Amino acid sequence: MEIVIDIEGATPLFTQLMEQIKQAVLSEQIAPGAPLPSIRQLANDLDLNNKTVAKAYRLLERDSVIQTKGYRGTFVHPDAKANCSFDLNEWVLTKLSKLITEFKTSGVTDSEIRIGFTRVMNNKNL
Amino acid sequence: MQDNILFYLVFLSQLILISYYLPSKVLARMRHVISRYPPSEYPKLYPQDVGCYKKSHRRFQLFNHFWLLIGVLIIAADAWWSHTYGGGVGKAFPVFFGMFQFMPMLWLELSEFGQFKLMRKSNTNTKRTAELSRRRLFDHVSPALVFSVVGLFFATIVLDLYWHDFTWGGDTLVRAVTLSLVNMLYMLIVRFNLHGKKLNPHQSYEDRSRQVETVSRTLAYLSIVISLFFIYTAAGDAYDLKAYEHVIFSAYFQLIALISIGNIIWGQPLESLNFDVYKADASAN
Repeated sequence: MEIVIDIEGATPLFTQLMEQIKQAVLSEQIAPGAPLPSIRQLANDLDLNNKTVAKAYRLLERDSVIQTKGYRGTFVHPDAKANCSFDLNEWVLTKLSKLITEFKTSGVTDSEIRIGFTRVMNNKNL
Repeated sequence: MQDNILFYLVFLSQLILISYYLPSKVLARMRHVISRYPPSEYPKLYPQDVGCYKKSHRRFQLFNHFWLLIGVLIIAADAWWSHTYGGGVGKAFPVFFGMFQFMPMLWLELSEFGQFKLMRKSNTNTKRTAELSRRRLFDHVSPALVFSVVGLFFATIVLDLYWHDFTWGGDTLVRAVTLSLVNMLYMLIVRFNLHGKKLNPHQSYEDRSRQVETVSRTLAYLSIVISLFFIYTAAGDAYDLKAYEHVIFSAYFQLIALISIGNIIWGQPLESLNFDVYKADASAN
């Protein structure tokens, strides 16, 4: 399975990497439990910064698409295919849309929603 | 006298092998690449003008011929000296001279790094590719070979200590440290080949894998030969096996040359390499 990264593309590099790994899982080009290259190997092969690949791997691990087993390395998660179908961004948008619609029907103005949203996001206790 | 003749013959074979035969094979390979894969069709292979490569090939040939001539002159001078006054060159001379003989090859290797740097600089392709599979050492070399290397490393140190009553004498310590450093260097080289930066930006994944295999196998064989040589020298110290030492030293150096350079020439045939990636319209790296 070959990964192709366009370094001048509009999509961020780590997103390109994530999307292609998810695509490989969905199309069954890589099987659950299959070993993945180390961050260093992939970064060196693609001539990218280690941090870019690490970020993609971290987000994929958060989404349970891959899993890191200590010194043994990174592997495709056993439930990766099911977890790939779940779009976290879409889920966030749906939830926020619902909430904002609720606010608007209660008469809250756009600027009040923005101020409230910013205050909540800036709250370090969250 | 017979010892001297045997030494001259073996040393002459070292001169011919390292400064004539192997370099001529390397040179023929490089010239074949230029004629079979010309710059007009494979421009990415030549970040510099083709004249520069031809010039460096001539320089490489001259450099090798120079050491060959010096070696022959040394044999002639030694023959005359030992005939007139007795004595001759030191026992370690073939190894010492062999290091100079390796200089043209070292120069060639170093200039290759410069070529890869130029290739990376002139690479305008915005697309980069990588294979989504992990490169592991045991996919490229057999575990048996790696365990032989490790086993021989420890066997060399234990045997050396055994023959010297388990005391770290001067030579024993030097051999143990040298062997450890050489093996550590080899491990670093293999590690760099497995996980390190892709020096040639156009190299295909299959070629990279083949390169890892050749390098790992070559270094494993070299480590085994060096361990065996150190066992011989340790035994030589313990049992006073000094006869034919010159000959053994030279044969050892020839074996090292055959394994290291020979594996590149015969272990990676040009036909097995993917040259399509160097074509002008090749979009993949």
